[in-house]
Amino acid sequence: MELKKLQGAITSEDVLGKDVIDSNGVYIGVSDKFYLDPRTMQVLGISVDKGFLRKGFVISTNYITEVAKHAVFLNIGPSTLLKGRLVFGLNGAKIGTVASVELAQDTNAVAAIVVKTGFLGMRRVRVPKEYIKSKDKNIFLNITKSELLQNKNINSSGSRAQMQ
Amino acid sequence: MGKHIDKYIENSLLLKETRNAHDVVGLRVLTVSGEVLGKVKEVRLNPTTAVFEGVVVNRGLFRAPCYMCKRYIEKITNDAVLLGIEPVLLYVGCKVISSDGKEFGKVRQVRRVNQTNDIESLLVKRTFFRKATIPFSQVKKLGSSIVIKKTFAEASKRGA
Repeated sequence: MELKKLQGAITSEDVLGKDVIDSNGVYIGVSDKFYLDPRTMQVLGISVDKGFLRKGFVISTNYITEVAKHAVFLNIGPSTLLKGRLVFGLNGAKIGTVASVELAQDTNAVAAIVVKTGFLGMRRVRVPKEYIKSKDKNIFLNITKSELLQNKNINSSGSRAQMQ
Repeated sequence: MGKHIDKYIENSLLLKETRNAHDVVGLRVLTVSGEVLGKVKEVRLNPTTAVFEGVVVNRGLFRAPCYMCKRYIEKITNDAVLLGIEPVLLYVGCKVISSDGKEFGKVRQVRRVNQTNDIESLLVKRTFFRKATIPFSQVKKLGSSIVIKKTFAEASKRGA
């Protein structure tokens, strides 16, 4: 092997054990292992350990911007982190908080969010992505609270929705 | 409005199209990212022209209130006051991360261009005694944390 090629390469020690920071600058967790394709030996992704009793996840290399000296930077904000954020209607009325996030086919795209609303958050409302206007620190919908709760096309159930 | 009201209108909105300023007080104020800034404490008018100028936002017991002029207000609805900006005062307390991913410190103060929402520089508290000033030109990304363009070693040299 040519030694010149190895000069710019990084080792597993450069990747593992480092902080993982998303596109908003939020600390997500620590990279604890990476996955290789057994045939081509290409790196497919890294797994992120979120800490004690918290479920980690795997991030594809497509979502990694840079492996810096002290951290791994991502070019996305993982959609799973939307859980617990406030949900507001078009007019700014508070609807509830995100109970769970449904992702589209193992990607970072949101298919729907389940919002817990009503008295003590007992009611669950599934909101498809078409109704999500923006998702940043909190979530804005493009319909008002009354429209959301009255719309029969939006799946609404009194029981707890499936968590992902 | 049970009683009949005599209306005197010329080149202005109808009474039913206006909002009662009393109802605006106490509304939640939301930033463009959806963060709750606080609640409306006062509605301020221009005493000469009698035109709405802005709102004073109450941010809680231990935080100083802030004033948002009408330029930064996008919409006033029945439920909230929606801002068109992310007020830079919300960056106080945010982590500052160097380009190589190491935590450099936390934002102690945001210095602004006059009284606008534009950042001039950030005063970053590093340790108990050490502080550093980061000009806005050195900021790479603003979000939940602030990422700067320099590496930790470069930024430490400059701030020391």
